[in-house]
Amino acid sequence: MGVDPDGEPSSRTALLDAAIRLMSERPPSTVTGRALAEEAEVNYGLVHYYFESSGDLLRAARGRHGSRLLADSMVGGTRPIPLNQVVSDREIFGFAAHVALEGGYDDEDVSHPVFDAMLGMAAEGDQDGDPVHHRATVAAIVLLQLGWPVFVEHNTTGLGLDLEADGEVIRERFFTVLELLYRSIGVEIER
Amino acid sequence: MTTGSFSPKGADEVREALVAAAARLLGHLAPKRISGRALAEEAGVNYGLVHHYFGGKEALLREGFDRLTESYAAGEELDASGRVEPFSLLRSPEFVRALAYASLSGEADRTHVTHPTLDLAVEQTLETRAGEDETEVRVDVGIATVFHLARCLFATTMDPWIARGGEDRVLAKEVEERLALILRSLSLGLDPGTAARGEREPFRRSLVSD
Repeated sequence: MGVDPDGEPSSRTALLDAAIRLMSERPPSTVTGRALAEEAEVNYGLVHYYFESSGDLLRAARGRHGSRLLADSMVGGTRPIPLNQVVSDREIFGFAAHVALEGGYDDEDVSHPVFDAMLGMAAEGDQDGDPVHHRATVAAIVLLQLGWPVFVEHNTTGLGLDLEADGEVIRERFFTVLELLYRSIGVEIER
Repeated sequence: MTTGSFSPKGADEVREALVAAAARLLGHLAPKRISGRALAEEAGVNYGLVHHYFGGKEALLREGFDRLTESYAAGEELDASGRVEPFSLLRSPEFVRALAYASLSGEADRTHVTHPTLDLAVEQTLETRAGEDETEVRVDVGIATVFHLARCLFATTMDPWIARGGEDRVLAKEVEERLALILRSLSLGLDPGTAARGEREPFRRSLVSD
């Protein structure tokens, strides 16, 4: 089997990318080894060859998810992901939400490369800022972006607003909120 | 998750057992993955009773959602200053999870239930921001509520990071207070960046009439 540029066997990477796609659509516990092999177009036996358990696979998928976000979307962790992309990319918010629903990142030695990269941007952009400000701002930005696609329809209807008629006003205000948060840590953000 | 050997008897008990079962399962599965049989089994009753009392699983799931909303609203507790605590949904993880499961499986329309807590939040904010455009106020409350729900849904992801691997309790507490300040700024339509810096921006009721 081939090896991709970062030294990972390509079937393993294909399985992890397939896991991210499937877990963006449904909870990790419902993703079977067979579905995974089929989605990745690799031999079923390789699922067990690379991953001892489903927990093992989930950990690896989370790691891959984080490094992919850093590499593809954050341009090496120096620029934030454009606002529109986070709230519309199912592989970002769907994956994060399903992982959270099934226990989140509660195991030890788990890293959050994207959060840390954003914290790095804050340290760069707002050099006098205090650590509480930076950490709270990064947390708020991430929470708003991940929560938006999951909860916006429920909230809009619950508030007596119409997603069609009021959609533009809602979106405009939401993006302004994110821009203000980013600005407080010295980062200008693309929509 | 099953209730054991206890078997509900009589119309009231059976209905109650089924609605409670629906509320429990909604916190763990997408609605479309919950079968009538699973509901009956969870409630410890005969499958036929789902149809007998609710006409099918759809109506039962709706009552399950209503039950979750009610129990959240009933659990709202006031803090020392007589206000609802900022992230009160952290006490009702099942409600938050049920909303998330339904939304992620494309069934958000199932969550369009009466929402006493949201109604109250809107009412209070409209009162505080009297004279402002009502749609704008509702939009702000909506964004604040997204933040609140996300804070609860992603707690398992976010909390260890906020506390630097669970090590730094002092930092975690300070960040939590800052997040509460950001939540306040969102529903009042103030600058959340200012709140993030720890400044409690005063809210001037008379913005319009001055």
